[in-house]
Amino acid sequence: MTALVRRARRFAIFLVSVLFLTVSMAPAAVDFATGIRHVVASGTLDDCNAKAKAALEAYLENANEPTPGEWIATGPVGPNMSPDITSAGTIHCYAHAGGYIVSFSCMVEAPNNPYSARALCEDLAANFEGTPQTPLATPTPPPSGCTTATLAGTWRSDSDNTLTLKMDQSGELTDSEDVVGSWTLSGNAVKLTYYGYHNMTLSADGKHLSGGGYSFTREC
Amino acid sequence: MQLYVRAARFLAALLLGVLLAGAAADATLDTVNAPRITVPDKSVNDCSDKAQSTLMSVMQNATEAGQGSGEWLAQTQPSPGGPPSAWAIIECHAIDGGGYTASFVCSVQTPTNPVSASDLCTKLATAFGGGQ
Repeated sequence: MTALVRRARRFAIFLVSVLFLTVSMAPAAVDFATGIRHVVASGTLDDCNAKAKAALEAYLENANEPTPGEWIATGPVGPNMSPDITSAGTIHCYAHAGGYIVSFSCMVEAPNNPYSARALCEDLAANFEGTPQTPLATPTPPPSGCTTATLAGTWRSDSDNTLTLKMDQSGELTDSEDVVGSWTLSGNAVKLTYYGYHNMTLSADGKHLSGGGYSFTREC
Repeated sequence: MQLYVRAARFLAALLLGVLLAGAAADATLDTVNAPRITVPDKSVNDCSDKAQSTLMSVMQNATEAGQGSGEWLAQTQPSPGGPPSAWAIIECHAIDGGGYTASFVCSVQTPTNPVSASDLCTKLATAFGGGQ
């Protein structure tokens, strides 16, 4: 077999690892909420706009008014939240009979957010009205250290000190040469997709991973 | 030589699979408000009818948030049976002195959905046609 074919085969294994990793992630669903609207008998559009901006800034970021009376902001914000835009809220102000009408709409990707679109919109509306708000759910911090609940962390090969695998909470892994793979954990049984499939076992103290031709120790 | 061609084809197919799978996995929400359309001489019921027909023509499953609310919601599935990846709201409100205003909110998951939120809202506003 020529070197080129060997190289192609190695590359193919790498790509298969990536493929299995990515297809294992389900696309996020979007939760949509609309229908909350309040009629305010007396007040100006300026009042509505100021309250809309403040309400959006309390829960989201980048609040702006691309069209007069139509406010939009995106999120999420908060510790352990996704850095991507996975939620949004809009507040619309309409002049009405000496006062105004205000309406709220929210979009929230699940499972990237621990709260529903309805919960976000209810808090936006409560903030707008100055009534008590229910704190939005926050994500549970991922376990750390030598736990048997997850493989997240840095693992070093017992046979090759230069080889490390960084495993994250989502089931992805990246080695010290930027080759990616994936992992699943069920009880103490580990399926590692990294240059092929490997059935491995996690030790009771969560520190050692062995089987399938590999042996790793977690840095914890 | 035949071996090289086979290997190249295999790699190309794998790469395509990886790209497609990756597209489904990472989705960001793209959300916009489109400029309002104001129609001075028609009723909110006209707006609702127009909102429903507009959403039905461009998207799927148009429903009113609450009967008579004038807030219409629809979604788009990029593939039959697949999860929706685009949503839109058309809100109808009466304006003082007669007529109505229609506002548009569009939200899409990118890159799952090939159309941006801005393009979707432009399409809806064009289909709505200002109620004329």
